[in-house]
Amino acid sequence: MTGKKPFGLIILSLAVLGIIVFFVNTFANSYIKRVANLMMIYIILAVSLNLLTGFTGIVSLGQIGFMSIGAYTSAILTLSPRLKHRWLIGLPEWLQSVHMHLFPAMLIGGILSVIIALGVGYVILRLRGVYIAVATLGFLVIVKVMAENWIGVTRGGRGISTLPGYTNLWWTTGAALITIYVVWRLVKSPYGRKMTAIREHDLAAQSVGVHAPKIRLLSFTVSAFFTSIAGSLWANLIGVVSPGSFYLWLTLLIIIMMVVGGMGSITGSVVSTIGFTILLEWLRNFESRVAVYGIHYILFALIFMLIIIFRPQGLFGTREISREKLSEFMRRFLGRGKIRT
Amino acid sequence: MRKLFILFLVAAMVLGVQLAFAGKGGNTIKIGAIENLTGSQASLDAPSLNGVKLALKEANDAGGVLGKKIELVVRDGKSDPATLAVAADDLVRKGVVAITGLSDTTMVLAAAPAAQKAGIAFVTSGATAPSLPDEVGDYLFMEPFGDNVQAAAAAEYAYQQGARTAWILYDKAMDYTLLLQKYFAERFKGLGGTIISSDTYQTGDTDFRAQLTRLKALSPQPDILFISSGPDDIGTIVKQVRELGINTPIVGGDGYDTPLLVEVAGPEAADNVYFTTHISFDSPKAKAFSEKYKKMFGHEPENAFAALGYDAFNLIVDAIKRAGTDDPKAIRNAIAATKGFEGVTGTINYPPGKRVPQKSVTIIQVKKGKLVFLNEVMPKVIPAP
Amino acid sequence: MSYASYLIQQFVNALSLGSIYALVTIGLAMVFSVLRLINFAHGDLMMVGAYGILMLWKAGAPFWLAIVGGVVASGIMGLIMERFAYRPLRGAADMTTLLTSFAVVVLLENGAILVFGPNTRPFSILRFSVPTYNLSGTLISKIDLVTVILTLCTLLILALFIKRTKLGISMRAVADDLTASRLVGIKLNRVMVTAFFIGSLFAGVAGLFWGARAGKIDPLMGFIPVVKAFVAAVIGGFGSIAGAVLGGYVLGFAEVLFAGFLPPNYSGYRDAFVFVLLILILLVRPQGILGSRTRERRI
Repeated sequence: MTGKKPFGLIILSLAVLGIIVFFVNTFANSYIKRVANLMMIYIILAVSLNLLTGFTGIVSLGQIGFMSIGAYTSAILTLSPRLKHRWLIGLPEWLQSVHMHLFPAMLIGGILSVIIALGVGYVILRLRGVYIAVATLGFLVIVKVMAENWIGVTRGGRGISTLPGYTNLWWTTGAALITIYVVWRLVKSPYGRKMTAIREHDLAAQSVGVHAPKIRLLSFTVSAFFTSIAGSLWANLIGVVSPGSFYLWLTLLIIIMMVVGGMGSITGSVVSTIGFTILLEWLRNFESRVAVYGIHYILFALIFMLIIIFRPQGLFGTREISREKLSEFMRRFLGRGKIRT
Repeated sequence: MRKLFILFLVAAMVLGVQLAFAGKGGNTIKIGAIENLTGSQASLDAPSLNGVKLALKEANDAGGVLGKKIELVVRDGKSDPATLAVAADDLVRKGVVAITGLSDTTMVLAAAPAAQKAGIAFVTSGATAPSLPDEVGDYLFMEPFGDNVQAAAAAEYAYQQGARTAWILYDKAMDYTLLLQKYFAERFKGLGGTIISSDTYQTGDTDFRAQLTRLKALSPQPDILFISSGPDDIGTIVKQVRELGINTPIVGGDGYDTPLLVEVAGPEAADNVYFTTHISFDSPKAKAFSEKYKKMFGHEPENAFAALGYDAFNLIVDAIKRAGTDDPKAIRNAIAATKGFEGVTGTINYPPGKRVPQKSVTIIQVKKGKLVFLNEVMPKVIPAP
Repeated sequence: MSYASYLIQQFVNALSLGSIYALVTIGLAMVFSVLRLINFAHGDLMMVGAYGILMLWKAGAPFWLAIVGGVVASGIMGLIMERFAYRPLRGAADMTTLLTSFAVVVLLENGAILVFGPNTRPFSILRFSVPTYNLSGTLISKIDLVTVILTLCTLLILALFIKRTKLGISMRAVADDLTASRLVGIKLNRVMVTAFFIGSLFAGVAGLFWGARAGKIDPLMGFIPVVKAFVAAVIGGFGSIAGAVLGGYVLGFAEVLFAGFLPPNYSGYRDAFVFVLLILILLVRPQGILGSRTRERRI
């Protein structure tokens, strides 16, 4: 890796971001805030999924199961004890009296997800291709079924409501930045190279000494951790968790965002998520005006199919943003550019 | 690639600006409708929206309210809590004075807090969990009666008719069905009845024979079957119950109030079925509503939610008239003070401090595919939420 | 009811359920074996067929014409699907086509909601006035009986087709070894398109019976059957027609077992158990009960 770290630029960007977050969080109406928070959550989901599917080549249809685990954990821990006593009668007494804030609840959810990911991953990551997709789909279904049936703990189909709204733009943006940073570092590290080696050709990678099962498990677990964090943030944003919130449509949406952005490009996932969020909001208005509902589904499905047929590497392929490319781009964009060789 | 990027940037900026600065004001009174027009709840909410649209047309044809036309702002919740939350915020931003919609408690729990926070009344047309107003806050009103009320009425009726034992089948994925059977069991046992056993299924299942065969194997057989189901599944369930030779009376709630019950089960099977609902289809009001609905949409109301949506909207309009202003808080207070509002689904009274209406329950029998009005009751004892 | 007759009735229930699952799975397995493509939109092809039948029947078409018309509609939709969604992706990884089929599902389901409305519709085309046969206490519905017979006949006819006809043999060849088939001059495109077409026709028939058993249809009806078919195909062995049928019956029996013999407060976990079973099979015998080990998956 050449080039020095552009510290100045990074600090500046963070500061600008911080100011934007401050203004939006304090002055914007709740609609804008909600959309912004959700967008950050989707960014976390897309980037985590990209680590697993884009960089390591494991197609998992079940990551949202970890989001559910994170959401329910946060719900159980942040719900008021009074309501816990009434609703969640299957919980042991000490859990019912607990009343946590977002950060510890998030972390506990994350740790729980990591433990489950280690267990589940150990068992199913040896499968390949279609089969692992099926197995992870099974995981998603199992999580949903447990949420629906373990009524003493999750209140079943009724869900857990009146969750405190701890999530705000500082948390979500912070979590998104941390996710991007960790995944970035992981991907640029030797681990990252091993991941792409596994993705390209499993057998060849192993023959040069890459310990595939360990790398796969690492990727799976890190992805599960951040997905779980996103789930906790979601729970304390929307205020109610129910089994059906974390199922196939969300899975498909994140996959679409990831593929369109480019599997193997963190920048792609971020840009694509921002783009889709804006598109989604614009369509919300549009659908209502023309009284034709369901356009967004059709449009997203079409975009996905077009990308997969005509530009399967997504918008960004495997490229990432970098100082050189950014300045090159600005130069071209501002029209002053002759292409530097 | 560069042109594409410029286009993208410009589009993003335009959309962003448009989104951020959407307007209030104008010469209309805006009422919001949030419904799940796509996704799993669509078959419940789409008729609800139709009911709203019918009421809107009638209100505007009669001159609107407070001298202005009413503008309906509709948002699709996609049967997804995150979408609902954003949609509710969007409606608030648009400057609506009240919101109506949704037929499921979990959906309302996702959408209504935004309205509560902004001080805008939310009148749900179809969610029936009696604890809902407490879970959301003092700006949440329910248009239909609570599940505890109709379940108690069903239990009392069954017991009166001589039933002492019951078998329960319920959909474990919907809070409506979960609550209905819970309250039924509570009231039935309170009267001295026994629940022999219960069994479950999942919304959308099409084969119930395993559970029904288990029922058949019970000895002694129960006096009644309490089947707690939504409108899309009940026809299939009744069909299979009768196909398996089980002739026991079937009892249920307003989920049965749909032409699908007879159409899917067939007139032979749709027999010896009893259900509680909001109003008798036979009454002049219900017939008139059905006619108007058919005229506007080309077919009869698909289920009870159409009439509920109609009434919820009209309730809001009536409250605006009584409040005399388009201030959301005054409107909310006017809704809370509603007494004697005559709707298609019954007469609405909100007891002081309560936001679940006091409404009577109608009991209907299905006899060889024909609906027969039995009685209109207020249950004597209602289980607590 | 004696315990013996309880068992017999549950057995009959399982057989009926298994037959409809098998019928749905046959089309899915056929398409997979020849095109190496898992078409999640198979369930929506069922839905298209069912709606086609309903529309034709309501418009006044006679019984048989409505059924044939609806099934053909499925076939045609299948051809469109193959041409525009899957053919451009020939040669791509299995994953890509799987994900694309999800996109097709979204398109078809929401398209159907826009065209037909989201509401459930009654489907009474196969309603008999006396719906069940009573065989000394055990009840089987006529529709289920027809389904069982139809499934077994289909299995026989397909087996003959695959062994005796030129087209059938070509399909088997393509399923076994794509490159070799080309080398011996098999027109790949024709075989693949035909297989997809036949698979879609099967979907239409499955849609008819699925709708008739339930007595209703709706735009989202295809989702549950295709997931069941998927599980059944994995259990029985993806790519083998006989495996598909066997998988369908195993799944049917497993579900009735869970729903009928577990205590009721556990029966809600039925779907979870089925998927745990699935994962176990994937770990222990990924090729399914009837699949052969020689079929290697590209990573």
